[in-house]
Amino acid sequence: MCDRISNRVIRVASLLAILLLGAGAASAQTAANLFDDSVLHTLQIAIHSRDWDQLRASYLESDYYPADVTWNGIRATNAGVRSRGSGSRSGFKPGLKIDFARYSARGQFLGLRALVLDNMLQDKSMIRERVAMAFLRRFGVPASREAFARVFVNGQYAGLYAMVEEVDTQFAQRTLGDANGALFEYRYQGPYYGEYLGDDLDRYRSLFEPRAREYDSVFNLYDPVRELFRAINDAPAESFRDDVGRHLDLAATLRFAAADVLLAEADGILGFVGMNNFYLHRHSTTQRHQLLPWDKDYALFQWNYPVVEATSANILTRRALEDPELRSLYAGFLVEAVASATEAGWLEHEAQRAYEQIRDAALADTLKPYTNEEFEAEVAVVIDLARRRPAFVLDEARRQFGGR
Amino acid sequence: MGNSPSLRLGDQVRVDLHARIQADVSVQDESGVEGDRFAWGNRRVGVSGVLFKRVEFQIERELSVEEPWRDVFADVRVHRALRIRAGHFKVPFSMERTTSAFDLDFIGRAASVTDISPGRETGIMLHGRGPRRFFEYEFGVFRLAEPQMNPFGIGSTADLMLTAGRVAVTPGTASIGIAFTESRLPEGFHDLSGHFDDGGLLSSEDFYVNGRRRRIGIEGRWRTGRLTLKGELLRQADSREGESASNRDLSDLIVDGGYISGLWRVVGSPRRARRAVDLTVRIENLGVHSADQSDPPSLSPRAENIAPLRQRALTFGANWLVTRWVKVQFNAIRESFVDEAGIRPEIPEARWRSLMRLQFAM
Repeated sequence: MCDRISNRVIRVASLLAILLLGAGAASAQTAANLFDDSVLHTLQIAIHSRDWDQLRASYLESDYYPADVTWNGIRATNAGVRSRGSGSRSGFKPGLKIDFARYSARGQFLGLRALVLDNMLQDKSMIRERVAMAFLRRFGVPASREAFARVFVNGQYAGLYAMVEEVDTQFAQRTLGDANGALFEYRYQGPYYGEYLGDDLDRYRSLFEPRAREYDSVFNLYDPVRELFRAINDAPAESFRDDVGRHLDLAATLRFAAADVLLAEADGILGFVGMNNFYLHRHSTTQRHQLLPWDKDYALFQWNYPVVEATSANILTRRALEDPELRSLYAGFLVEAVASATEAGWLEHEAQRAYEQIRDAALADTLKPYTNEEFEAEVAVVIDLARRRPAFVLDEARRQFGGR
Repeated sequence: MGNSPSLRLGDQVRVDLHARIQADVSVQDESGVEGDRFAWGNRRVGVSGVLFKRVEFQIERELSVEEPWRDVFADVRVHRALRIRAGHFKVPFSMERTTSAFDLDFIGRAASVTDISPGRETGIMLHGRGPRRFFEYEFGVFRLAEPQMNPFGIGSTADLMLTAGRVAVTPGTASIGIAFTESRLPEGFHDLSGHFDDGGLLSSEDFYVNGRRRRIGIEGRWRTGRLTLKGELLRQADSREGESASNRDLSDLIVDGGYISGLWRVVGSPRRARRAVDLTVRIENLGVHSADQSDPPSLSPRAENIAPLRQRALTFGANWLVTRWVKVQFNAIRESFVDEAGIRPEIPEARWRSLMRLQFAM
């Protein structure tokens, strides 16, 4: 009798301990845990069946639908979900933006106001985006945190996605220590290499969509952007560094450019059809701008993607590299990027690790618009690139800048 | 509607002609909304009368393009306790809603009355009263011309029937009544368009509803000497069957509110005055929320706990019955909104507005 009672007490105590520990673990979760890229996460989305059908049917629209999101036992109710992306929009496997503050000014999940689910439609390897962002962060470029997740919609496997940290005021606070600055998302409208577009602020307004301080006047938002591009184009060569440096963090920009070159990014700020996939942040106190990376589906594009030519088409980098001091700074960043990528074979190992982490989930993803064979072949291309690219960049840098 | 031009054929036929018109002027508005300061109110012409002492009828048309036909009905008197009305007329719900717009104590009805009570529908109704009007009742079945919300087109709106009933007792100079309506509610967005829309507050907030709409109202009136007090409490509950993000039922969407008003006859006979001056005051509120408020509040169309919002208004007024046909009304209204959860991006500040109305009714 005593044994039965004591067993029961032990069982109840154990259960309580598990519950308490579980609750403690759940409450201790942070956004850092959500973006822990050592884990293949699971994300559950509950969305009304008609809303999901509607979202997929009208995937080219950006209408929000209410949904509940659960990760690691933590549930966010009443989030807003919409289709997202440019070329990656899909009705079969929609890219999604989850806006936790859509229906409540105080809405958040683990401190995040939004979360992007990248459907990785344009990257058959599915690892480019995640690996590229990891390298950018490692190299000191403010970049979104990312982790893979198996996404289930109403209990059905909806495919493998990359959870991407939204570039918003919270991101700016975390990475730049400034939540009050202006923030713009660049909208690709055709080849643009940083030309001065004239006095009309609407020209800049059409290229840079505000993502913070949306209710500021057009003048307050865009006059500094116009002056930035005026300086980039018109500043005399001898004062370029000072004139442009008043509007732009040149060191951060060149660091970002060097990272993009190392990553063979074909659709970034030095893309082969003009600038693309970046945000522009203007610090609230210094009023200086900084470019921030976004969407790395076309990174790790080709192991011998041009190094020298990439910087010559863009007016900003071309003129910057005409300044001896900035040229030297950029050359140093390139060498540093190579070193970072090759340190203990980091880039290759990261690509291999990402592949091994997602392989089963990717193969089970029947909604991806490519075959499993294509997936495997593309992964091989990326891993090969990760192995060969750093040396190629180093050789090209020596050719361009001389020295070691 | 007495004192109108009338046609009589012996004591078997009587036909009265009516013409009524209202013109409103916005005297002051702190909302900052640009708009015309002058607006026409109701402009109606019609006939009413009695045939063969047993059949009353009324036909009234609004002089506007939208919804031109107002009351179009016949009312057959079987007995004092049993009358049958058929046609297009007001659903018997809410004392103030069933009062003609030309006989109101204020320029506008209370927000809760406007938003919660149904208007005119086509149907048939039994009604009657007991001796000395101590007791009266109304019970009707109506076919809804419109679903009173914004449907998706999911489910038929052709068979939308509404049942309504009202019972009132009048002990002495007081009157107390209770009323209800019930109707099917096709799936769609709730239409909280009424006074909330004036503030632009809920114009972008949609909430799904599906199932049934139930209304209940309590009304009271008391007259003593020169003072008349009125009040109503109204509640509308819309079910939300299968409308959660996971296709489960949500708790009812509730719209509730009420008012209490007082009228003091300063000049003129306390009853049936042809010339009079009244001073009026009304306190009212109208709110929206959901029955279950255990979840965090949200503005999601599928939120279990819809973030409560409440509108409050205080109205001071004066009515001048210049002649039996002409009435001038002035109202000063202070409106405020309360977002209890504090999650709406913008809430208008409390504001005053004042209106004047010139009315001719014959």
